[in-house]
Amino acid sequence: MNRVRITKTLRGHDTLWFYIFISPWLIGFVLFHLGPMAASLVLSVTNYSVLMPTRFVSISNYQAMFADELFWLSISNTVYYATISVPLTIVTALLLALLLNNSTLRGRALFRSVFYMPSILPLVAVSILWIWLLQPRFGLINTFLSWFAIKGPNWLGDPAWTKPGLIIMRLTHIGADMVIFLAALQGVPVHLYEAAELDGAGRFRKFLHITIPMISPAIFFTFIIGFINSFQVFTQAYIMTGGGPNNATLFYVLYLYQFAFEFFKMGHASAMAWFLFVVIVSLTFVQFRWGSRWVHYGN
Amino acid sequence: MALNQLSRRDFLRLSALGTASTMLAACAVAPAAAPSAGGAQAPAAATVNLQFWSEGAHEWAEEQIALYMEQNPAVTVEYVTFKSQEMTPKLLTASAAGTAPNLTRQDRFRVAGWAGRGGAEPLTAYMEQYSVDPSVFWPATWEECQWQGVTYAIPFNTDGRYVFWNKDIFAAAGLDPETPPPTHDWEAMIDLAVSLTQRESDGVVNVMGFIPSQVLSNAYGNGGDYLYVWANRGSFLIDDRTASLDSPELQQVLQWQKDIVDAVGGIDVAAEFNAGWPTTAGFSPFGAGKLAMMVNGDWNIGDFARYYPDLNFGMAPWEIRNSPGEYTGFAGGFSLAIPAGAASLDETYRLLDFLASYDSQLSASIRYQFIPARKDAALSEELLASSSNPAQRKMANESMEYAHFRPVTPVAGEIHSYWVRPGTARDWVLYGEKDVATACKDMQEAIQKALDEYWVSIGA
Repeated sequence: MNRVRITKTLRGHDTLWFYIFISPWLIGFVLFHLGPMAASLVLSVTNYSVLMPTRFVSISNYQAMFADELFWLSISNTVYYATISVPLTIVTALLLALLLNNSTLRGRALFRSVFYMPSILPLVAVSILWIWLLQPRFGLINTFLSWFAIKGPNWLGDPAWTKPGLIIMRLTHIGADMVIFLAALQGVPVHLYEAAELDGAGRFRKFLHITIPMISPAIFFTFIIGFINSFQVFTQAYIMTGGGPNNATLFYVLYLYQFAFEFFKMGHASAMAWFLFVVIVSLTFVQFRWGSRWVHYGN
Repeated sequence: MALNQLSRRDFLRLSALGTASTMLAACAVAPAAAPSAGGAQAPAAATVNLQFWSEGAHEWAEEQIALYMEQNPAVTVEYVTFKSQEMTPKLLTASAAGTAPNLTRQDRFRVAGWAGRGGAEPLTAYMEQYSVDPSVFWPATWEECQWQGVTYAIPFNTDGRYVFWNKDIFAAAGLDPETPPPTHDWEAMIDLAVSLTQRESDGVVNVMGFIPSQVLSNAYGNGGDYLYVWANRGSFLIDDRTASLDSPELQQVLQWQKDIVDAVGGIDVAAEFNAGWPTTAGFSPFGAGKLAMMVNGDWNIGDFARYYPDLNFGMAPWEIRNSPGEYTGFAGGFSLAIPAGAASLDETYRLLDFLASYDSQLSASIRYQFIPARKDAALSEELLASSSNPAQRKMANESMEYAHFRPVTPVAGEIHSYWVRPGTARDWVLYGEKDVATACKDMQEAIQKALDEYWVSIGA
């Protein structure tokens, strides 16, 4: 009995310390995330404009949102960007990590630093830089294409090419994903490869049947985070295109920002924010269900 | 020895307690500062702290605030300057938090939006106390500060829009470089835009004749989209409650803009030429001799003198359509306003009076080559003499007498967005997504809806 009581006391003691340790995060989360989120849910059914008296408007913000053609266009633009940029980013980062995980590569540390470096640059500065890189006549991208007799498009001026231009830009910001993959690759037990070699497996089979399953949690993590971030793409469009040309880069959060800070329609903007939240949570849930089929946690 | 060692658990506990204590200490209210030992240098007991926010004009703000505090030692003024367009979101959140500054220098066309939503302090008491005479300001700048018959801001500076033309390109094309483009004749402007456009052997445009819109970027100009409406005797509102964005006058403007863009090669050609020109003063296709004509602001007089000193250009007011010699103009610019609920109103009024004064406006205008909102400052010899081109400066400043201003309405932001910004009416038409009539109809519905919502929201 004494032993049980002591164990329970210890557990209670540990629980208390657990909450003390996480309290800084917990307080911050409640004050700066959960509280504003709950407030925005309430605001989404009001005509809140910050400056004027607020009135309950039921679901009219949601109705107006769904009836707005630009709302659907902004969703279409965002889904296009996310569904293409996320897989491309993961594949590119994984390939890069595989290359830089090669122990025979000379200057490996230097290359890792170089490829990681764009990730630590401010996105605003990078956006200004990419305006020049994507310039149709003198930009480096089109100059490179011209060496192969390809006339590059007007990346930021042609509605058909603006989103691909921003996706190319995104592909240079893969440092964080690359580091995650590098860490995961180094955690794959060598004996698995040795056993596979004894069974006559080649490089591709080893990659497919050992590397991919063993790093699948890392792939899954980057996939989830990539999707969540891509659905909130804002800075590039705000700086580089202002949502144009012809709304080709009117992404969801940019449109939400316009409602909140240009039209003073915080209630409408809150409704948009909650719709985005529900979409992201639903997609993440689906991805988790789907992930349980292919993510290997080693158990 | 073992007794003196901390276990890992104890170390973590102490760390947690330390962190929590630090956070609590940080949250605690700071004690009042101890009185200064030097009694003579101690601040006056009744020191008033004011906050002043300004969109741009950092150097002017720094100079004037220092001067004001020197003259008023009992007042401390903190100032914050923002880049263009960046102050509004911060002012909005500060207002929501009840921490708005005492005084702001903000874009004048937004004043009605703030006033109409209760975000700006009426200046009736200030005007009485300081005997403000509206007639000292350019009419457009004063009218733009009114909402429902009440003054909510004091005009500070303004800027006009004019047609600029490159005299060398005109001369090379066999035109009289001293004669301004025929802005009253819109068909002639289309022909001129085409004839002045030069292409390289591969068809790429080397010199663009004229693109009458800033929808692609400011590389092609600034403010023309509004100017043409007034030149065509149109307006955006019939009254405070009724929009008129589908009027024949506005439809004709959109159609004419599309006709010019199509005539010089279409939107793709215009977009390609425009790509990559930053919108900063030192990078201008007009300044570089790559754009024959544009509509732009008077600030270019100084910018060109600084960045393109050899540029040979003319500048003239835009004419009313089909009325040669009869001009119109567009007055933009800034004003000084007090956010609603600001504390220390008497002290704020004094600061407002100081910053809106002749000397203050003149100082800013000489420094930045603004047009002062006060007529006497705008026409002062000192300001004209400070210009790189006094004749052009004089013409620009005097043109404020007949300049128009953007619609004074709480939905000015929406009108600006639909009429000028990318992705709305002009894009719909230029990219062939909608015809002019449909674009204007959709725009009208959106603005009228915003207007109706506004009036319902205030219960009127």
